[in-house]
Amino acid sequence: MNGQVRAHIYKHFRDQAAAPSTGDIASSLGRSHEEVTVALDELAASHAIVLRPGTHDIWMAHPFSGIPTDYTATVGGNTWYANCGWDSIAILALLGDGTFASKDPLTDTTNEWTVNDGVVTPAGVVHFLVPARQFWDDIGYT
Amino acid sequence: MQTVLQLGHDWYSGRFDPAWERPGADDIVSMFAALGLTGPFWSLS
Repeated sequence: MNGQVRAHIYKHFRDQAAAPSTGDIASSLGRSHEEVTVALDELAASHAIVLRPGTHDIWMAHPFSGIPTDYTATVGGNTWYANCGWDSIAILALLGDGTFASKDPLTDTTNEWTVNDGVVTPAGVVHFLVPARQFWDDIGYT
Repeated sequence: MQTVLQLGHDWYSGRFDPAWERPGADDIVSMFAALGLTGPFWSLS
């Protein structure tokens, strides 16, 4: 059940560039609202997804973000929000060649890169601020 | 950037599959190491 819910969430992000609602998950999988909310809570507890605090709204299904961010990935004319710079690149790793972008918080300018045949241009560096063992201490900050 | 693209592929592959399970800590550290991501920053312990 939890695997089906998680996979549905990921496929919905892939196909709709947005998080599914609890009702959508329930109707798509033929499950009750309560069954889905229990599954969402368990998936969140296992760090498979992240829920917006105090709700069953899907905030993150890494690398996808359910809310607008400064990090995006575009493939075939469709654009997805990512949770961070790594995730914007990772969306292309999952969905194929395209572009990814991030907004510079200091200058408010947007920087963009292209992935073509698996090669990223122009060259750049991703700065990981949080050590791996602390990724989940505060996932929003990470 | 190129390393992170590969990391994204390795880290997130299989998420569309209902049978996907989170890799264990040793597997994650091995994944990092295969990309040259080693040292205390990439340690999980």
